[in-house]
Amino acid sequence: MGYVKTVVEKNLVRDSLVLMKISEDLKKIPGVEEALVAMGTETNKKLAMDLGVFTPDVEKASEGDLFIAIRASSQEALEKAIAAAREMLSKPAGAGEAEFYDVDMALAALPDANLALISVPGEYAKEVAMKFLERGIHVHVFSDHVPKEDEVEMKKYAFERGLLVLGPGAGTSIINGVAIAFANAVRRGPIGIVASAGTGLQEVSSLIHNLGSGVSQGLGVGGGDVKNYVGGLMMKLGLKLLDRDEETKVLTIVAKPPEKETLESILQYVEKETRKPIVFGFMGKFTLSLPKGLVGRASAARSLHATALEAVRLVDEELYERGKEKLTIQYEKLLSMLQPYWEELSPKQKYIRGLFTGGTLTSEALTLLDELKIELYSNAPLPGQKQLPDPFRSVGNTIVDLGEEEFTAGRAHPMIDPTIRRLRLIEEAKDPEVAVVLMDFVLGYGSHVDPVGAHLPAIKEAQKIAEADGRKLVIIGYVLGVSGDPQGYESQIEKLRSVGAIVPPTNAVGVLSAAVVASRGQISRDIVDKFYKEYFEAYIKAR
Amino acid sequence: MSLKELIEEANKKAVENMMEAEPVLVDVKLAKDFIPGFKSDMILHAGPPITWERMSGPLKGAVIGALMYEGLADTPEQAEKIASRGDIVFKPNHEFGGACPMAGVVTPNMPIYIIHDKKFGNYAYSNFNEGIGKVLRYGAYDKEVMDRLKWMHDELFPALKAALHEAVKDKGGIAIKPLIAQGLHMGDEGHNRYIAITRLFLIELIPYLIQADLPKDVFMRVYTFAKNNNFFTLNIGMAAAKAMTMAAHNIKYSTIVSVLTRNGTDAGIWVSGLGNRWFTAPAPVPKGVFFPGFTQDDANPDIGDSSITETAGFGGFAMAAAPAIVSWVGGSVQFAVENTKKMYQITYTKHKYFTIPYLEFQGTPTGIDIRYVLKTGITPTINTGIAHKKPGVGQVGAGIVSFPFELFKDAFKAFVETYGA
Amino acid sequence: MVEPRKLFNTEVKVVNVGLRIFYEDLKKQGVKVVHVNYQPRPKLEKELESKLSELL
Repeated sequence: MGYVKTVVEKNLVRDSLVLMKISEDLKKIPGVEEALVAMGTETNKKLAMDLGVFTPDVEKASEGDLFIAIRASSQEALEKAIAAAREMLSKPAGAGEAEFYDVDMALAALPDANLALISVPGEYAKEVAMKFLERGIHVHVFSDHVPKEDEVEMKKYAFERGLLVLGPGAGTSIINGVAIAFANAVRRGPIGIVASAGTGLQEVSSLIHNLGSGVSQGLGVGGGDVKNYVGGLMMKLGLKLLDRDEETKVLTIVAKPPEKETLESILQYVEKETRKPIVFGFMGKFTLSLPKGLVGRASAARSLHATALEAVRLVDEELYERGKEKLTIQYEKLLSMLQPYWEELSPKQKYIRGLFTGGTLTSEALTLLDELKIELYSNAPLPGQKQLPDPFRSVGNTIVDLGEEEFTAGRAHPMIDPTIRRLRLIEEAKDPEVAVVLMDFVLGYGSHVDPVGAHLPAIKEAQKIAEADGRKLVIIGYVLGVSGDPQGYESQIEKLRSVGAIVPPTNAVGVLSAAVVASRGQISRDIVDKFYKEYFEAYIKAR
Repeated sequence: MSLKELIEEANKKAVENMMEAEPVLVDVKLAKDFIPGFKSDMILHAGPPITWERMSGPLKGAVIGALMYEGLADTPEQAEKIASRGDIVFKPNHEFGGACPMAGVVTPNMPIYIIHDKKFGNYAYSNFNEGIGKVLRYGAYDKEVMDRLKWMHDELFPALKAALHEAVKDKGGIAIKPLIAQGLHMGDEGHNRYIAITRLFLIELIPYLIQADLPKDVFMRVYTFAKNNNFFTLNIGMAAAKAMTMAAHNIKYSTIVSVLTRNGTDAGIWVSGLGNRWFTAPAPVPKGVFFPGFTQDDANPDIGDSSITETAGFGGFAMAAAPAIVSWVGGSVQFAVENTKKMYQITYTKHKYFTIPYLEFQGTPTGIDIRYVLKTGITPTINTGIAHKKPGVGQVGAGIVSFPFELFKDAFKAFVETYGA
Repeated sequence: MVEPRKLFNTEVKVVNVGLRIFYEDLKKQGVKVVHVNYQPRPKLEKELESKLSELL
């Protein structure tokens, strides 16, 4: 299996993004079969094991140590790769571009900045954010693990002053059409969104674009905002600012259902402080009861799919009618499209394996499968669903969120680094009971330059493994994106189709398709009808 | 006045003195003739105090070579024995007004440059530079090294002495501050790049060498040695920097760093308002570019008094003036520029005389203030030669290194204890 | 009190603090952006921290 060599660099710390890029570059060296340059976390050690580059040295590496692990077809290539890795590691970060070392210096260079994008370790986020807020500059805090009290302090300070604190833990915002952190090249338009769910905002804004409409502003306020400790401060302020914004015609919320007290105060606030039509996209099995003052002005939807459609309906009925056909594929049509796939399944193949990178896409999948009465395991289960005993191994129907902590400690998010999912896909293919593998490919700024391309070899290998065993594996790949995204929306879809994958128009349709294939079209009609009504369109409609 | 105001006033004075010092090269002497009571049982070295047991390879190597140079040992083994049995007293150069590169080993019969600060009256010294590669200051002591040292003592030293005698007669000596200021406008930064400054110095020196009436062959050997050694003037620049920082030292309430150095095992600093009290922490290993055949694994922890240049507001702090330096120490041109910019955040002022054309002739970052280091978490970042960790091998590369934060934290703690708050 | 700077329907100008990839993505979109290479400051004991702010 080739030559393996590992080198541990004690106390050398590098950004996981940098390391990922180095690992990728090393694989391009002729003769190099596998290359992993990573920090010595348990996750990375396990990865080294899976890649077949694990050694006692790597095992001894601590979390503050960096290891270089190479497998190559020759001793020469091995040495070359190690030397190249060292050279790349020794390059100073930021060579060739102006960098600043503190906020004051940076602001001296860009004195009229109006937004700060902060992605420092969470414990330092407040310290940095306050420097901007004190100067009247809005902030988007991408950082995770910001202490709750810090979030509250920042948001109270900002709320009183009419300043936005997007995040913490917000992956996405769209400001004046500019993608902030992970976001898509969405057209500008009349729909203003406030979201506490990052990929939720990506999905809804991209669907709005693909329906032909656009987004005025997309404000990611972070998951903590709708919890009682914050009380929806930034959701409220965001809605108010959008209500006063001339470009915005319809307000849209994309969020998990808020805690009760917060929900009530948000509803009150919306009733009092805003005038425009609004879509409450509170995801999942949750039924909103509107206060009287909002009846007629407000809609409510349970899925990303339905939220996007409803927002478009409120701005342009005609676009909605046209788009509905495209997004919400009629069930009969769906059955006839999918039948050829399930007919090729062997009798033993019955399970769905969802390998997701987007958190909100995962929870949407969990909700929808639950609604379709499919029992499943997950590493992030909904109440009533089963916890996956080992997140690294699927059982039965399994939906995993690969963006969860256990997969990301010490390495880049799977939207950026496809390695973990590639390996997992191969594992799923080896299981003779798996019928469908469902994956999301999130395009846009921040994401991998070619997520589908990076998975193609693994998809082909998975198909080969199944075929060698006399089976056929159904791959459903949902591409979240718009045509202006840097990765090329159309070419990503084309690549998936080239390997025989099913490419659904929305995440929700992808999930339904997986259920249909795995059940060979045998879902009861009652369930399907209810599903279409409750998840493919708004359950409360304005006007 | 509040303590804060007292500090500001003291620091202003410290950096003012540092910038206004007028270091002039006035003489070369044997070390024993400059340092009172310098006997053969004492060896001076770079960095903070250290015992033989804790010395790293290059410093041990230099001590071995120095003992043989002094005729106290005939073989390295014998030298080691002498050093290890505790007969020798080891003292830092800085405690005697000196700053010498790398191991910085000075013994009584070694020739040294004498710098006189005409403004404040201080005297500072440094030893002679041997060139690069296998040299005593990097811990090498083979025959080639010993022969060169002997020549430097026997021929270079008297030649320079005679020339400087002429220079002093003519105009009181050779002023060093203007040479550094000009060098910064010619692509040197004054720590690892002395190409322009060495040439400027030679232009000053040659007439005096001629007036000293040296035999032609001696003149040619001295000239060729100086011309071929791009680091010839480093030690003179360091002695000048030492004089500048001496003028800023021992100012009550001042939080300005007046010594910043390392001995291959520990890094150490002095703070102006805290006198000659050492604050030390383990010396970091520089990252850098290596001569063919050597790697990062061969690198010794950082060593040398040469960071006196940064302490005085040039050297690594002026890297933006010397883009070509990156071919020697690694990194990118942008890095060189950014390092200077970064150092502005931990220094008290911009130099009045040392300026950087590329940065719109701003003064170099001058006067490291321990308060700013604590506030920003940025520590002095310098460029440096890299010694092999084994004695006897010599220089293996050059690179970049940042001083440990703890030094400044400990010093600040002591400052608070000393002056209350 | 400092007025909030106008953000909507004006040119977005960003200070990026932390991950460099976001800086690069913003540049790709033609946004005016400067990058801060943030290094968390080593922690100081509370007492030292307060002395420091007193003396700065």
